[in-house]
Amino acid sequence: MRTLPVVTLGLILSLVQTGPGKAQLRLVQSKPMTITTDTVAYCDQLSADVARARATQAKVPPDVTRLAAEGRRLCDKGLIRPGIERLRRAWTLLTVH
Amino acid sequence: MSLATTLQMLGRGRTDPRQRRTPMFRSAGFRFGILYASLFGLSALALAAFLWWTTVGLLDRQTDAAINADTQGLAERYQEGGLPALIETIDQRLATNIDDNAIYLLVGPRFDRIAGNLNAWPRGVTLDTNWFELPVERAGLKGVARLHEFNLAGGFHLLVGRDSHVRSQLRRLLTAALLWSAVVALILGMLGGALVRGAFRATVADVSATAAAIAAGDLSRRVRIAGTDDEFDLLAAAVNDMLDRIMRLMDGVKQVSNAIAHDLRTPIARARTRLEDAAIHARSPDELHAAIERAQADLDGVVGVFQAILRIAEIEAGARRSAFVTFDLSALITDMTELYTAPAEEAGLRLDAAIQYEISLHGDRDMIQQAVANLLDNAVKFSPTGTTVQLTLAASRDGVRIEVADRGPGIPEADRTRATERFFRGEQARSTPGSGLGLALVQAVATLHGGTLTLADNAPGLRAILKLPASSMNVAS
Repeated sequence: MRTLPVVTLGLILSLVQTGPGKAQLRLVQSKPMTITTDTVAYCDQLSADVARARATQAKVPPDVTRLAAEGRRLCDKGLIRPGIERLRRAWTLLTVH
Repeated sequence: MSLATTLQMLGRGRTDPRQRRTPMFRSAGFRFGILYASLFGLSALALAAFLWWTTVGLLDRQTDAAINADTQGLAERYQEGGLPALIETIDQRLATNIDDNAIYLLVGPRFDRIAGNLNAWPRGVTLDTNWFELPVERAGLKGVARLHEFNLAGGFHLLVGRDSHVRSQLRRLLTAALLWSAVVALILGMLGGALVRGAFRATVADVSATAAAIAAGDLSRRVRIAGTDDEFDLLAAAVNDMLDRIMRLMDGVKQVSNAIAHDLRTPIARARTRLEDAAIHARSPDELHAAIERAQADLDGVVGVFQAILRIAEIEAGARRSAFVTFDLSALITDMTELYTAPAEEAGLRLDAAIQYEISLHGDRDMIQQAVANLLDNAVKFSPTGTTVQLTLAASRDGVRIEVADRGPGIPEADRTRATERFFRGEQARSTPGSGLGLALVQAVATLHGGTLTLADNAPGLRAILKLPASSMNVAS
């Protein structure tokens, strides 16, 4: 009976430390790698791509214009990921339609 | 181990100062609390483990399926349109990745970056790595991604992956829930342990007080029964029963000791006086021999009493069970009837026997014979001249009944329960020779065989009924 709390704590800690993913996959390198599509440069690139695509189309959906403007504005304010998300929506609407 | 010591151990904590200062972790109540907390923790752990392996496993499988489909699509594009088509597709997929969780990297044969959203080939990833996890940083936020390495024709290499931030969030959530559960279980366990410990100590306080009182010499103290019929009440009742039994045994020992001292002093003193008188006054060897023979007879009586006591002790100890055999009880009672007919007639009595034949009994033949002889001895000794002693042997579904009925003075109802105690002699028996061990031996024989001895009024006289259980008998059809 005395070993029960120790066993319980050990199991909890082992569960905390390990999971199904870690048990299956090896974690390579400890230093995180930067994702380049969440940067101001990518925001600028995507914003330019959207503008070029809009210019080539005769009729641009109003949502595309709004999303592109919002995306550009958010990126300018430093909210990179929300800005890129708006621009991607705009790009998707443009390329799908 | 003495009674007081035993009770002190039962109610420890009251009389031993060391026990009063029992550390919390050595308390049984605290251990129960910890056990409860551990069981609670194990239950929470089992639930969390189930949730973890099902939810996270499902997420991982879904992610892997998406990566596989993505990789397959990119490989087909490469086959169809070559490198430019692959680059365009990667850029297109990154541009439409609204969930912002996709990772691509296309490198050349020298691992120089061509397309994708990683700057370089991760360290530690070789061409046979296939699946791996990579720590990534998105706009300052760190996380872990699952990636798949795929080799393309022409020496190009492709990494396709997905963030596993949902998995990470779930893991953090479950970890936090587990840790909080462990903390709550620990606190509740300690509180419960303290409460149970207090309840235990309060409950055993009365046992402790009783043990202390008995240790101090007050043998009349008993443990209080709360009347709640719980385990502690059962314990208190058991302890009280044990104390009552011990008290009865101690009374019995005291009574037997007194009886031995009282009943044996007279014949021993008489023998001594005779020998002393003969030593001083005997005028011839014949007178001396006669005195010695009388003293020897007195001392034989003393030896007989001790033999009877030892025999009863032997019977009560159950040592005679090894002598159990199946014998013809009807024949034994018939022989006893023939044996006692002559002494009964000498005493002016008639012995009537009603014997059911072909009754066998599994038991100690000698002890049964001794018991019936004791009952017949008593009947012959106390019956007035001209009366009849009735001996009955009968069998029924309940068992065997051996009954000896006489017309003597009987035993008053108040004395009947004590008449089977050792050395008990009723008022009517004071004037007759005897040791007061006859009925005690019959009682011991009855108990040895799982039967009973009942003394009843024969109006006038006594009916001594020895009942033996059906399990030990066998009646011929």
